[in-house]
Amino acid sequence: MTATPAAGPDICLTGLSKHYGPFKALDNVHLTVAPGEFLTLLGPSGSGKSTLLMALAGFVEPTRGDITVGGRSVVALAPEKRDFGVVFQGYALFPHMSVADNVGYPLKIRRLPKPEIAARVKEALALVQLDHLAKRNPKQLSGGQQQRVALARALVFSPEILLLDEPMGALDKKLRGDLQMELRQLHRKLGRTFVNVTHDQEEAMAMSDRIAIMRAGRIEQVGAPRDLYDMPETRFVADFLGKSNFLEGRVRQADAEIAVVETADGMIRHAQRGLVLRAGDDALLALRPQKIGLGGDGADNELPAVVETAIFLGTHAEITARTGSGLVLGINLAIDRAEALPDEGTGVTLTFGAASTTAVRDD
Amino acid sequence: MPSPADQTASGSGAPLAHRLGRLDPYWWLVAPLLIVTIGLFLVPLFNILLLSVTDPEPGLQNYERLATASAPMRVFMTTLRICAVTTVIAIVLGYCVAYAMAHLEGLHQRLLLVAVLIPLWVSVLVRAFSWLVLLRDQGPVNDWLIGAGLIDEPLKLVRNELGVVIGMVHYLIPYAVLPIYAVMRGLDNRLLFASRSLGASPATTFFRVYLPLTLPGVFAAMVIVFVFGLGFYVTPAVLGGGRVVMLAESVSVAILQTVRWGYGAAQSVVLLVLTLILIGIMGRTVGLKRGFG
Repeated sequence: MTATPAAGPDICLTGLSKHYGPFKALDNVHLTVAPGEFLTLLGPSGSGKSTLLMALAGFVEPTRGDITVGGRSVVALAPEKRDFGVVFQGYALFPHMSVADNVGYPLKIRRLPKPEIAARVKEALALVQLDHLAKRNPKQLSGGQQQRVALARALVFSPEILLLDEPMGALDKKLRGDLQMELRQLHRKLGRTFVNVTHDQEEAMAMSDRIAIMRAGRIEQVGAPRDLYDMPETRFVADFLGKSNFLEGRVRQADAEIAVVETADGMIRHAQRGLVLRAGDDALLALRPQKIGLGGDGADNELPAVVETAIFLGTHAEITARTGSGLVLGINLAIDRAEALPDEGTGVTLTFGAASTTAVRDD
Repeated sequence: MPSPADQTASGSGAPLAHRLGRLDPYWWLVAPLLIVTIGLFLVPLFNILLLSVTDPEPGLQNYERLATASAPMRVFMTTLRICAVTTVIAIVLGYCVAYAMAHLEGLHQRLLLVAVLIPLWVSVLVRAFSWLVLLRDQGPVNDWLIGAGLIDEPLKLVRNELGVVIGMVHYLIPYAVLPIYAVMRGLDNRLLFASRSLGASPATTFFRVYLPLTLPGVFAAMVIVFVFGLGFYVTPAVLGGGRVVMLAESVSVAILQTVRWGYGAAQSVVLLVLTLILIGIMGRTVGLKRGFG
């Protein structure tokens, strides 16, 4: 990867809280964003991710805690003094200005000479491939084009940090995919810090170096997309980022490598990693639908079940099966293994390896 | 809608029934008002037009008089001047009130809204005489100013143009506030956030983003206030003390005192045409729709 070497300040949030009366929109948030990183705040609506971004931008005054950028506290700084580029939800383009005037606005405010403004506006619009639409009114542009204008406007004054509040929120799915790739490439090219907010886990996975999953004003877990997916620490993360089945039980015996968990459907062998299980603990195991197979020999775990639904979806097949205890598990079968889909109502044996389960905290 | 079969079956009565059937029945709800408006407003208005070119004898002499004599020109200029001054003051004050209203929340906002609306329910006559009492030489305002040692002689606050302007501004401020407020309420706050995030101070944000985007409301308010002002009668008559004669009062003098109906009618026509032209110009240049929408 030919990324521009990351330079610029790091962002540090320590003990950041924002209370609205008894409601805690942000509750003791600690987070560090490295220079040049693409970090996404991911969470359901009301989880505080937008509040966190707006606190960074300077529009929400934290009740407690500190935000430092390059070691300097910015909490007391007005938004216009922070020099962050912000792309707002809905883009917030000025309707009374042309595209070029929108992009030139931050430069005009900074009293740059006119020729330089013109040159930099042109450059910024070229960066988002919109130089041919400079004279248009924002209302005449499509959603995707408006998003790019907002991006150009937020980048034209070369801020070291770019904040994006649901930048893809108003776009349709196809366009979203294209723009995600573009935004990611833009990030690589510029080497600046991007902090993005979204509720779309695919978007978060596609673009981010790291994802911070938020819930009820707190950060539940931070990590690279792959790590979060493979090693969720809580039930919430395992369920929010991709789908998971959950097996509850009590640890019967455990050593450094294997824990045996007694569930309503029998003993399950679980390879220890992440959260360590000890004998006697209550255990909650997360199991991804694609880690379950039908039949086969020599699997660590076998669960008898009855197929409830079996749906062929082209790239894969989705099956739901009910175990003896009444637990319904979702199974994704890769298509080469699903040539013969089991009929609904037939009995099958669900198999999965001891390394397929992840022990998570319940919450 | 009758089907083609119905039409052929119902014979000679069909064409009328067909035409009425096409008319949306909701029109019947406004029909009485339409009839009254046509009978009691449009027809007499046409009569006034007619009167202005027929009384005392057929011809354009009434208009000739208006165009050549000095008194009507003076009335005309007084009217425009007072309306212009009133409009500027009412818009500036109204913008401030609307801004406060758009940014207050909950109970405070409702209180302010009621405070703006209540004067609309008080008779214009009552208000004019109240101002007369308040502003006259021995009135509370002058008493207080003298008592406080700020002035020695009572200020001439009433029975002049100042009094008329004070009374008219008071009457017209709600008409300035409401259209401006409507536009302010519809403004997306994120635009202001965006401006701040791009480096603009609150003041710069106001002048470069907020003000330009609320101008349609300002223009709409200007049209309403100015046009209303043109037709003012009671306020100038009471607060002007006979010394400040505006168009409406001049018409009244011609009709009631000098009994030159044709001359009065001609002045009315001029006022009407002037008003329509102003609405036309302003509507075209600033896009009234945006302000009212």
